[in-house]
Amino acid sequence: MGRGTEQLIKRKIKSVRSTMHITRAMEMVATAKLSKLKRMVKNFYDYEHEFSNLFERVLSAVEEFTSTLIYKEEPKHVLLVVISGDMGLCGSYNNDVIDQGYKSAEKLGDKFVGFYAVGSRAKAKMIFDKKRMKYSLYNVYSTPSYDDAQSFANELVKIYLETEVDSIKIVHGYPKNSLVQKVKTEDFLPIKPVKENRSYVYDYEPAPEELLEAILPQYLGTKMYRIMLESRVAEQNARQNAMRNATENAKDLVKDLTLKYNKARQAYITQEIIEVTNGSEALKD
Amino acid sequence: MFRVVIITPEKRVFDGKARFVEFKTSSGAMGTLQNRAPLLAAMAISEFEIKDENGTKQIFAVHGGISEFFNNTFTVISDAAERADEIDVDRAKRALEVARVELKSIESKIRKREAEGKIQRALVRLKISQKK
Repeated sequence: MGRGTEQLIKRKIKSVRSTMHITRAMEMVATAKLSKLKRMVKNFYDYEHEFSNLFERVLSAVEEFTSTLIYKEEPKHVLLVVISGDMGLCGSYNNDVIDQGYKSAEKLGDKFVGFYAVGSRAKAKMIFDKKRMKYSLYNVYSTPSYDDAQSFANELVKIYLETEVDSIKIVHGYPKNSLVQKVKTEDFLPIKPVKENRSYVYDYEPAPEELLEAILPQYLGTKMYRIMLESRVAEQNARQNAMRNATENAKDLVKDLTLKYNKARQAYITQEIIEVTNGSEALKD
Repeated sequence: MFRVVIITPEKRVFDGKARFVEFKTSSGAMGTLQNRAPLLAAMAISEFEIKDENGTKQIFAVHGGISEFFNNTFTVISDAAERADEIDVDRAKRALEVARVELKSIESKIRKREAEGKIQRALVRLKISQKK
């Protein structure tokens, strides 16, 4: 053992330390983004709660559904929208979402028409796996805005109305708590009406059928915005956890390596002392 | 006096008492006082006027959505709504320009409706911002 081992370990420690700095910084970035998102989610749930109450009330007033967006018969051509992130370094989050998408596609069998990949992770993986990807959207990486959600919802409506697709399901992640992220498959179109049991007498402006038609886009936009917010929160949670684990691991690694370095240094010094004393012993004779 | 709440996905824009509100539904202008019969209405992209408990007028831009009058509470749920003095005039002007250019180049019907909505919103914003 000589100076070489020492230098080697020293270099390793330095590199692990700099990685640790990066992962810690990324953890903090995720935390900051998360706190902003959580504020948005809180305000949004308030809105969603009020809106869905009113939506149910309008649905209960409508006697016969004329809109093509409302559920009528069992769909035959299903499009699966898979919402992943644009960036990695968040543990198994993106893969979990994509795998769930594949599973849902298998379950649908002949009814499955294709995927709509959202996020460059899903797009890249689907191209690699040679899956049927009909549409894709990426570089959506930022905090979602309601306008984005609304225009994406409108695009899905357009696909639903103008192509053979007669049902759209969305696969997305959502936070169960800050440590556990789940994935679910949710129906987006057509809309299955849920009626309220209680009924009140209302004045309608315009008539209930027209009123429903007028607020359907808002209903879909609201649903899409919730999905986008939830999946973003889940992704940032996953990223925060992954980065925290990475930082912890790096800390352990630095500890081990420092111990090794000290041992190597001690061994070198001991060896040198032995050599010196041996040398002086030899000179005595 | 009754309660008025305006909710958007971002925040509660207004939550307070009012004597009178004036607004526009998709089928025409309306106004209401307290103890009105229950109402469900689709809102137009338009201005929304509240006469609050002190009798001062407060003007908002409301971008569509749905409203309900029930049990002396008037709830407006809209994609976007803002107070007249919070409107960014330059931004609204820019948005108007962009949407007008966009409208000329688009062919699909749904996209066209979107662009028209944008123009309408920008116009309402500009109109209301001059009233404050």
